[in-house]
Amino acid sequence: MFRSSILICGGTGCTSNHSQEIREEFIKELKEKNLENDVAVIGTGCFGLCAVGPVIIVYPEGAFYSGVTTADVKEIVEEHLIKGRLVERLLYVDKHANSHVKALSDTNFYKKQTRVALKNCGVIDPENIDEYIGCDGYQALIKVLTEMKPQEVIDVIKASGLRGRGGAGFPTGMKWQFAANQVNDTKYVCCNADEGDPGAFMDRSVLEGDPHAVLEAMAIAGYAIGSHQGYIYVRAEYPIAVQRLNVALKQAKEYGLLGKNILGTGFDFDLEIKLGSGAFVCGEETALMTSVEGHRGEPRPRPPFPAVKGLFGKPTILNNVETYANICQIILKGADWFSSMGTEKSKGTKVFALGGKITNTGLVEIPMGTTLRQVIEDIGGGVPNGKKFKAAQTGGPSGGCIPAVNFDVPIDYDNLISIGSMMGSGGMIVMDEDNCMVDIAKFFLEFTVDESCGKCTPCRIGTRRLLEYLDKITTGKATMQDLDDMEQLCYYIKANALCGLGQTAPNPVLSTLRYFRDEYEAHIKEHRCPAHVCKGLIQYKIDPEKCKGCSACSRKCPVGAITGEIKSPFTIDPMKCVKCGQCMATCKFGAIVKE
Amino acid sequence: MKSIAEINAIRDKMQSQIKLRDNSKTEETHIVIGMGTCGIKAGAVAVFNAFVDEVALKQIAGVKVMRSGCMGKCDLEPMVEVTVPGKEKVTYINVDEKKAKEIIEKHILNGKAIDAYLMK
Repeated sequence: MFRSSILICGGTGCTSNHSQEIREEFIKELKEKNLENDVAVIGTGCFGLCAVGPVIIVYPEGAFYSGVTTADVKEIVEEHLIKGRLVERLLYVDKHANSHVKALSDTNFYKKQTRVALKNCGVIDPENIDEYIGCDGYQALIKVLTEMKPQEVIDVIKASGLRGRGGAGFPTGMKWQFAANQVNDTKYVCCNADEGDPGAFMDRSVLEGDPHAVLEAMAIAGYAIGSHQGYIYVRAEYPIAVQRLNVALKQAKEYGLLGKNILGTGFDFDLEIKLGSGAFVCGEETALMTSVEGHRGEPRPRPPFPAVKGLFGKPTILNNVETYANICQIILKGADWFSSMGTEKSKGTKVFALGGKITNTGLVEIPMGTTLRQVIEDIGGGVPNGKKFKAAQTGGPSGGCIPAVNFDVPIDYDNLISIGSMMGSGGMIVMDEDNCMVDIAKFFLEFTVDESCGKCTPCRIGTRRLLEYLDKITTGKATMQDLDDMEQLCYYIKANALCGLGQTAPNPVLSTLRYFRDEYEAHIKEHRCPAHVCKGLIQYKIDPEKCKGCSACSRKCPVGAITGEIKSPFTIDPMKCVKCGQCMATCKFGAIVKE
Repeated sequence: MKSIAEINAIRDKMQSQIKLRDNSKTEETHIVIGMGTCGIKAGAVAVFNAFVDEVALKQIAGVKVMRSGCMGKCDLEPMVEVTVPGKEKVTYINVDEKKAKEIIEKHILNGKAIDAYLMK
């Protein structure tokens, strides 16, 4: 019987911050102190507060330590685990309360969240099936196989109001119903874990922290629609997630929870993992299935929809990782429980990956209907360094920017679309006054141009032309006519592209045009970048009043553009300057300014 | 391959382990053992283990056994604080393994503090 548990985050963020070494150090240290049978060392999935990683939690006290290094391990063992004294200096500091917080559950970051899809993330060891079972794991599958008819399962999912968490928000129960209605011996269940949006890592965290929840839900889906084979399409860029999925799959098969005659009930369901090699378009459902089949990942026109003619031409359902992560709990706790959370048309919760100019970078799960203000200020801890919030980007390259005026709009599928963005898979990138909105639009367009598969012309050529317009604007060479033409092109691409990727590609441009047209016009009419980002429109200058003539900037300048005599003000030659900004970062006196 | 009964058995076994990690409930009884140097010297480790084992053995729900540092009266160690929801905190002194079992039996399970062992 263990007296204490040390939970060490094994998500990708903390792993890159050496959490594995910390884990090994704990095991070594505990062995030295003869505590290896008293204290359990458990690697878990993401706790959510990636910004202050590596993070560990010591139970039963629930002490939440952040920014831990291997050098701290000895102190935690000797002070906390032997003598029961918390190591104050390592406790997480809550910016709101400006004090050390003992437990993760006491932080503002946690208190305002509702964890459904992330229920087990950061609580259990994802590589130990027994821990998952201890948290009621596979009970939903047992319930479905022993007590429910397939149609009853679909009815529960329908009644819960669950909508697809991949972004488009199609009702999950209806999708299952379509596939169940098809008469065919062979049907497939697929899981979309090809999370390609820049800044999104929700699906990765679920797979890393709670892989069995996805496997169990897929087996339930198989039972509901009459399928005996499933595929998980996961991107190869997620090595930890792939490895944990493989471990989970092996354990589930050993326990007879997947495979032939599951738990002696006569139901067969097997799963296979397919690796994607990083093409963004493979997150689109028809392209994903083409890729699973072994072909080049390209979309095809719909209809026929996958529920009718999907993988290998058979009826197929394809759901996102986070959608599956909700299924087991809906089965166990009931549709009413799930639909009691959220707004009228968007039920349940949504996981967001918070990134960009925000204090608490990390993973949060909120009930639908929470406002952007609550997410950014209360949970995210606000914009750091006293800067002003400008906009939040949701939905990745398919989404748009939500400006500060919409701070109090409740977040759900329909509201986000009405304000020109979309839910997307759940990346949320926060921008402050130092971000140029034209530059942001350009960044996403560059991504789409790179990732366009090339099958249809509006996307392949249209997005490239769009990027050229943006290039012209950010270098100050565009006219107002260009701006109008660009807007027209956006609508043209939206109307004519083959798949969702192309149809939504102009969204970043359209939404920034809608809310930040003044910034576009400043670039065109005044040849000025208000946020001082676009290199073609800014100049670095030295304030002679503040310059002490130390020559630090001059020595750092890679092109030798800064000259002057020691102890008298230096000057920058604008013809030579490449606007790398290194001088500004070097100057200790704040003498270098951008204009 | 496992049967449904075996899966349920694993669940019951693991639940007591995982319950340790639940910090959300405020309505639970806390047994806190002073584990400063003074406490450890006076035998607090054995007392702590006795409490953990008893709670697990009797499968008592809603009870958390925790360590704390020196409670300030080193000559009275091992000291044990028991907080039952809705009641005032009481402190036991000079606790040993035998007393620990008694405290679980009489105080935790039957709700009657053992006056003879309390700090005066």
